[in-house]
Amino acid sequence: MAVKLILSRMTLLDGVIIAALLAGIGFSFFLLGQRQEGSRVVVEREGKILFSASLDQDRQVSFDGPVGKTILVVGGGEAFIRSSDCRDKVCVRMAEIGKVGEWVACVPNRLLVRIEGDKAGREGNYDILSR
Amino acid sequence: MLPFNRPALIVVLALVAAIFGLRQWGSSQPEEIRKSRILMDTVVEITVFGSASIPLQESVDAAFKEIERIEALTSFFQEKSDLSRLKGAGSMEVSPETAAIIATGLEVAAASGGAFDMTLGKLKDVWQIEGDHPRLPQPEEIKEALAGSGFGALVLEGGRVVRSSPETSIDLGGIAKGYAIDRAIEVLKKAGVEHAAVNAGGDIRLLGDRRGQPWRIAIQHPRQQNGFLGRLLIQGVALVTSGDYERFFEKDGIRYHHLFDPRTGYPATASQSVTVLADTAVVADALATAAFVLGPQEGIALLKKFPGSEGMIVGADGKPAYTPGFGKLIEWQSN
Repeated sequence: MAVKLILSRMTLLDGVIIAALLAGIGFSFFLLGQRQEGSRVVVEREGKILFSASLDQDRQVSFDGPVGKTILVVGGGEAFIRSSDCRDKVCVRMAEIGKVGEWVACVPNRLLVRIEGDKAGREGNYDILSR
Repeated sequence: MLPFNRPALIVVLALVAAIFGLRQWGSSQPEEIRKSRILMDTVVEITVFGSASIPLQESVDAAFKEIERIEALTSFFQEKSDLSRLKGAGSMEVSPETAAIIATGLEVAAASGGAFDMTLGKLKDVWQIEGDHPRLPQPEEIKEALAGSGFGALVLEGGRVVRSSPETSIDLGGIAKGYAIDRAIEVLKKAGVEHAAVNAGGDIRLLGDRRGQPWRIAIQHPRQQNGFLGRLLIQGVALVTSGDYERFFEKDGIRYHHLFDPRTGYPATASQSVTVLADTAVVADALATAAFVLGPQEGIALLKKFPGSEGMIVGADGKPAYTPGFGKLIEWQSN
């Protein structure tokens, strides 16, 4: 009864506004979903994992290596190398990475930064991994 | 009669307001700081929660400094460390921190029948598993490297460390990290922090809970890189996991890892991984290494000797054995 009453009172403009709001909410969730394509950043040196963290938490991490420091910035669903003491700075010039399988490397400092899906932290169901 | 002219519109607007309200509420949660640094040959991550009245940033920095200080005392590689100075002395007065670590280590060594051993420095040198060039040593080299090691080779007399032989080479790698994160937690507590986690390469000490809920700790599956054995919902305890997958090399299809059996001088073969819960990380760290060496049956018996300790040992066959208390805590994961 109430639904019928509501529908009977709705005008065309009501319908347009509601549709626009619902579309906006849906689009927001779509955008959020897009951003979480990759969920974790993993930093490795010679096959050993040095660091792994969620892409959703903002942080800056510094890694010492044979040629000095490499600074990785994580946040907003992406990761990139802000600076490195290496000679050519190829890693710094590489784009931000955020999708599963993307990577950026600082070869002189022997660092590989890659993006993983959330097979590990399915639905973000843990805070810390004990390994 | 409905009290509104546009009830549907109002419902939708209320929904939108609720969504944005929830987001705003979420952003007004207590401040969280999470910082990572490479210390003690691993990534140390400190997470703290608290109100603006607590100097969180400074507390985290002080906690890192404390870990650095412990590393400087206990490192095998830093010239002025207690361990480096001990290399050239039969006996020597050490810092209270190093003495405390060795005292705990000796307790676990005694309880485990020597499965936990802090005198394997020479053995680790010949294997180089944690170095840049790991290698499979000859049996004679291993025999030689075991000379001067074993239970009784290291004695603590008050604050004085006594080596039984010039060949005794002390290595605190299996315990110092646990002590360092315990110290970091003490520094945070002193600063007024009530909710924190210090995670040094998977060795974890928790302070309080996480935003009013227990911390959710996933436990690495020893044979599936992206898989978990299960999840624990815990707070205010220490948790250490050790496994043969952490640092290893393979030769002729055999995996040689970093957790040695002091009886043979070769990597221990009874377990794939061990997870230990204890009140302090220093105890959990030493117990985890000892239980790994002993394997499921004797390892669980060892854990039962330490009140407040719980744990799980995944045997060489991949089957987990665990203490009754641990069984109640774990949520198993189907991978």
